Amino acid sequence: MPAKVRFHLEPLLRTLFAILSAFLLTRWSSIAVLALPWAPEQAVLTGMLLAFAVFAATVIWVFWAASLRSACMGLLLPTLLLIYVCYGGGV
Amino acid sequence: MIAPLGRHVRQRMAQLHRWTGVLLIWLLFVIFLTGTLSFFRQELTQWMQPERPQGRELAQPEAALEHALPYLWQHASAASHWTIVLPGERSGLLDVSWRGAEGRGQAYLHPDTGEGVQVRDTRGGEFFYRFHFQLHYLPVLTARYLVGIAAMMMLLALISGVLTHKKILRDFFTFRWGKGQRSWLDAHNGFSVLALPFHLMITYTGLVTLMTLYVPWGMDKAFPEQEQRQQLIGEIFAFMPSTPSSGQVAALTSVPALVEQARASWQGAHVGRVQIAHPGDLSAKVLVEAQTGQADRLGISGHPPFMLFDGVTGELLKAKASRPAYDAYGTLLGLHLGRFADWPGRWLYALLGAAGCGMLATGMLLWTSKRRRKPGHSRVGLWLVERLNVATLAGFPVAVVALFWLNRLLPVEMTARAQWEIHGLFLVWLGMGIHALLRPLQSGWREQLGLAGLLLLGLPVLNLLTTDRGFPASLAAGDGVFIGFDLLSVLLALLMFRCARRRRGV
Repeated sequence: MPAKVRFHLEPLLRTLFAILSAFLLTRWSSIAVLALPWAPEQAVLTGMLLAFAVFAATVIWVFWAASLRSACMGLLLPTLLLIYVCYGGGV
Repeated sequence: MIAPLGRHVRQRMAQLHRWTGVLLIWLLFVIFLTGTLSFFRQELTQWMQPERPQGRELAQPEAALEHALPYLWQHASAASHWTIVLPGERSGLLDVSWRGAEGRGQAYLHPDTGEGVQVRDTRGGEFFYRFHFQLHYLPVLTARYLVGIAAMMMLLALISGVLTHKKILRDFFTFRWGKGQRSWLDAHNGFSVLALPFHLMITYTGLVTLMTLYVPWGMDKAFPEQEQRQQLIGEIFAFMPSTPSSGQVAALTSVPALVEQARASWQGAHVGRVQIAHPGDLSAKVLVEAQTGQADRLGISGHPPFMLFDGVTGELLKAKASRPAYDAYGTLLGLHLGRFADWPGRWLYALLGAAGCGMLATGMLLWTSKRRRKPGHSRVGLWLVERLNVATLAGFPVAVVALFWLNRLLPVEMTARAQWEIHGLFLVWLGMGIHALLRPLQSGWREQLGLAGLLLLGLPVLNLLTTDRGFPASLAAGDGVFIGFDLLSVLLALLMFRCARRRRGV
């Protein structure tokens, strides 16, 4: 992609990436809490109470990062961890 | 063309702040305004039903049960569900309602005499409360999602707004009067920072109130069956189980005795509501809930304690559970609703909510005033945004005050009266929108703010002429709700006039 196009597409890409990653991380984290050694209803409610903080923090991070690439890199570890907990048999 | 992202992190936070803030700001403003009014939900209902006797603190609100139960036996013995809302400081009436195969009914009784009191048909403060999270005329779920998206954007705007500042404290203590855009910036910072903990709290806890709708995934995974989810919710919210009637006659146990039993386990806190399912049937159940607003005895939780009894044997079947996550949820909910607050607490809530309205209004004015100075921006877009500013920031308050006028002016015997009060609000708002589009900008501001001021100033007069609870009478009776309403109307009218005069050349 030419640098000039990229330059102007960047806000749009960041916005789309922010919404998508925040949605997925919120969703996975609200399921991953079930792996905690707590009664399920306690874990479920804790996950829901914290969900909006996860969403907000993810969006802020995506715009905080210096580039889209570093925004992606920063989310890589939590994403892998959450996917492992959600789908790796932990829940 | 979208501006490129800033190179510096503070620039990017400012951009995020600007766009998350601006996109739904008109919606947020009406949500904040009606939400702020909702702290006075019962007081507004009292004002909008002047036939109600003055609310007062009762030593024994439970005594009113002796009027409620005979009334229900006499008028609704065939109903499958009774609800009794006991009177209190915030409501001067005993409210009994019922539903069943033969339909629904409701009656207001005087708490001392048990006689029926006719009140005018109005949604009262309930309208503002419902509107602030599910709007009006829209499908409920759609509206709630829309409000949720707006609330999340508000949360993001608050966080990025804080992160934009290098020296938030110094900016907070700066105020430059009469400097156009600079003044809007300083006013915006003032409103925002002064009440920042409140803004963050009310936005986050607002999302929490509808979290089972917004983030249901963990719950759906752990409790896939609808029944299981209902059971979980029933641990903390007072829910009457929907068991069918047995068809076998059995005498209803003594409800006042159950009420006393509940009070004894709530440090003597008063009971606010009693529900009875299948009265006179073998499967009868009695659900007793504590009255809100007794923070000294019950804390601030948004889930008031409840007890569910067997309606024949009087056996305790269930009580509100207390576990860490339940209590955390109750606390966050309680902070949002503010029902625990006594009247000074409610005024503090309202004042902070008003600061929120100020933050949104000045934020929007700052946005337009910045764009007006820069050439090259879309003139048509700016023209429209400035008119919509008038229609929302001045026009919606006019419409709200018009609702109070209609409440006093529409004939009491009119059919669908409550609905027409609300249609009236939206028609006036539409009128303000058209007015804003047709008039020059400054005239639009001046005329609508001036109209809001005039209508507000007229409210005490209208109330004096149409009811027997005008200012002198309510002063003599020490009626805080009516005195407060009159004084606040005048105060807000002066504020509107002042805004109308200051809207010159900005």
